Amino acid sequence: MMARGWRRGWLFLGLVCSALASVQAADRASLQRGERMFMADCAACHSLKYLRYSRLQQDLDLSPEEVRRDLQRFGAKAEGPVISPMTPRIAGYAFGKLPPDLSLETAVRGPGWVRRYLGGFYLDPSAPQGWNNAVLQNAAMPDPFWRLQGIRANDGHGRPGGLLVPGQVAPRAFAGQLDDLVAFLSYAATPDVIQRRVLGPWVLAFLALFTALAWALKRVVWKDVKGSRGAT
Amino acid sequence: MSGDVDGGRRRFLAVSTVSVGGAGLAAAAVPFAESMQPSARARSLAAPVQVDLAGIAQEQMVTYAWRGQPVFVVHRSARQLALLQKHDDRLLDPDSKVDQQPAWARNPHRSQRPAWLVLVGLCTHLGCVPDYVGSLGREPFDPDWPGGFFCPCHKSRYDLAGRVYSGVPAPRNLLVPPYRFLDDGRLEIGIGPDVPADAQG
Amino acid sequence: MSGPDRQPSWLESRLPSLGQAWRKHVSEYYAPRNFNIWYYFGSLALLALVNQLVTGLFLAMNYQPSAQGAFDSVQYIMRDVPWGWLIRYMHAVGASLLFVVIFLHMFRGLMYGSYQRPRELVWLLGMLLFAALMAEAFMGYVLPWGNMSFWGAKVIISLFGTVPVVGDRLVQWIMGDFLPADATLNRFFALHVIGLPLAILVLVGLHVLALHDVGSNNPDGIEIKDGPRGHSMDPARPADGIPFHPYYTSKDLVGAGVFLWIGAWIVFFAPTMGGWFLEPDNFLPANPMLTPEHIAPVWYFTPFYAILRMIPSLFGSALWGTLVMAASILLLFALPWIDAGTIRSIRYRGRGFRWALALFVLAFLGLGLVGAGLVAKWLAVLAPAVDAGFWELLLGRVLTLMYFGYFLFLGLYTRLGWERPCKPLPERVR
Repeated sequence: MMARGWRRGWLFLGLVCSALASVQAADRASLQRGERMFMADCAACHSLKYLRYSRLQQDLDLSPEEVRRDLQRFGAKAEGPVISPMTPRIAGYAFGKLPPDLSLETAVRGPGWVRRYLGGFYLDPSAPQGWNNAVLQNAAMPDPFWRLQGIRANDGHGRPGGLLVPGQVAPRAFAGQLDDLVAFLSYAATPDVIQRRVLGPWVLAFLALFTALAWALKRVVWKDVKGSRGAT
Repeated sequence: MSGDVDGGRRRFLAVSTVSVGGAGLAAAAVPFAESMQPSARARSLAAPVQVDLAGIAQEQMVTYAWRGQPVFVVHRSARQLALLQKHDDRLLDPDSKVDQQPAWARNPHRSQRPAWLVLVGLCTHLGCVPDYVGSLGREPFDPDWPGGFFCPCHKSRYDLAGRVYSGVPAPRNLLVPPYRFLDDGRLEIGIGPDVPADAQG
Repeated sequence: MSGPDRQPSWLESRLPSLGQAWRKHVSEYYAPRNFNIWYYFGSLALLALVNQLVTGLFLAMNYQPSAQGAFDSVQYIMRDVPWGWLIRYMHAVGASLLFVVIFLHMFRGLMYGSYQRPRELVWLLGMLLFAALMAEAFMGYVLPWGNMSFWGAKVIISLFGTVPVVGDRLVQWIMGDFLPADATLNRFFALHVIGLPLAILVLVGLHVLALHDVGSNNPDGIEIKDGPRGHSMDPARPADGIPFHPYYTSKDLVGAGVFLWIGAWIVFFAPTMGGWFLEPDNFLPANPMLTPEHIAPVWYFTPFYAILRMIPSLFGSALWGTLVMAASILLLFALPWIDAGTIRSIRYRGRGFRWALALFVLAFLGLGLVGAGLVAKWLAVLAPAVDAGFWELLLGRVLTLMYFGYFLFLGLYTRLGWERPCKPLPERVR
């Protein structure tokens, strides 16, 4: 019975350690790059109305100068939300509808969908904007990355085909940039992820300690129950 | 039944389990208690207010809203400052002994720089907003008025450093809020001067 | 320390009921000594309930129960309120974990015959609790006023519309409007925060009292009161009983630790549980113009939802689906009378019972997969050529028959003498 108890203890501890090891710390550098990309290529049209600049700076450890430049550019306050200067009137003329707020986009569509969408633009003269998207046909959104990624032709099946105009960034590097951007958008949907990843291992370690103590106490208390399976 | 060794071990385990559990419960209570603190939204609405000093002429007062309160910013002229020390005998607390200002405002002009006065514009009697009466000389309520504030509700009077006169209903000098100079042309109400101008609040 | 000469304390002389209750229900409540893993879930359910009450209270401090403000107030809690995200996740994850615990708790009852005489009332009160819990969870899910909140509310409330004659008026009365709107949200908030929690607390109290008055069952299904008297601690108590405190309090503390560890892992590392606890469509604000692609209820309702969907409209009315779904829960209420057997525990019942129970569990899980839309999804992926809808309907109907078949089988099995116990009942608990 003693041996069985100890084996269970090691098994438990092993589970704890493997859980902790499998948890990766949030890649802060990736989020910072994603944030810069969002501010540069997306924030002119898309808001993050549930996210505050001050929170962004705190969570992502951004430099105060960069944040101040963004605040000046968008006429925002540090404690205020990230709101794009795009008005419904201008959006109506340009796109037919207001570019949606992206605070919760990755939570609704899933990061995979968003990633594929961002990589799915191609030139399509028949579309109202001149651009189309493999993932969302007839989207009203033009390709915001054509300078980086290059302009790709329609392959005839509603997917990006050959490269018409090369971009400034190599394809693999650009793919990495999109990954960073999607990571940032995932953070924007659930900013608590930062605190969760930091606090989580400690809470689990504490609870493991508590459970181990409680289990040892239970075994001592149950010793006098004759013939008890004493099993937990 | 159980030997003494077991009894001791049992007690030790019981005490440690309960202690660890109790510590856990106390730690778990912290987030719940903290959730009742002002939220980020409350703090954003109470955020510091920036003042552009270039737009305020001499002897002019402008009112700003900060934390739901009016804050007076007065650009004092040389002649107004000259009269500031001449009437201490008519004031209730001329040396600002009562705690209505930060340590750096416990001086004759009750501010960081003599030219600029920053006060919370609420009468210390019952909270009305006093009028700014910057002109000097004869006033209906005072033949020898050296400039200051006059509260219309119950006729309390304050001088151009916000110090209350004796014999009026108000008991204390006007409150000096925390503020700091970001540079020569800008002031920020809500954050004290000990926080350097380039840091976020 | 204690004894007849000890002076009662200040509290004891003014409120002796407290001490009496502690002794009667905890320190001198003799429970069978052979409780196994299946006996953790009662205390865990209580722990999960306390979690819901405390986290719910603090959520209600910042939540705005209006159609206008609800969705934004949830984001406000998640982002602006200090630790709001933790409280929200604890509440949402806690709800799902409460259902996991309750399903396992109920299954224990099925396995060991805990619903049989003299514990029928314990079972009935438990079933009432289950019904109250489902209502509470349904309303709670509507509160964030996401798109799934709205459409889920619309679909479930419309079930009441299948009632003949008064159906439409009943639906309007429930909603307080012509579609789920502000009025609906406000009353769901009142019921979710005050009405149902009070009912649940009263029912929990009665459930435990009813249990303690007749004594607990155990995995062997024999009464410890029928066994020998003479406990080492108390000569008047059953020899095979042990006082709840300190034995089961210490044991349940370990169970609580494991449960909290699992809960914490989910809250900190996978709070949406891949969309099963917090669904993606609910991150969109409620939109009466935009129906989600797949309206499925939260996972714990899926088996019952599947049964509902499997019954077609007959004679121009969709009432039959509603009735059959209601029957799937009402039959559980009637279990103590359906099962006319004299042996309680699966350990000593015939092989037929074991098979039947296993198939019942499989049916329940399978119906859950159907109700969640997974069967249709998998069929479409694994066998694109076949008509997924047809096969899903076929499978779902077979599983529904299996589900109801359990009750039919049990009724006949215990009345027509088909039951052949595989082992003789033991004299004492093992």
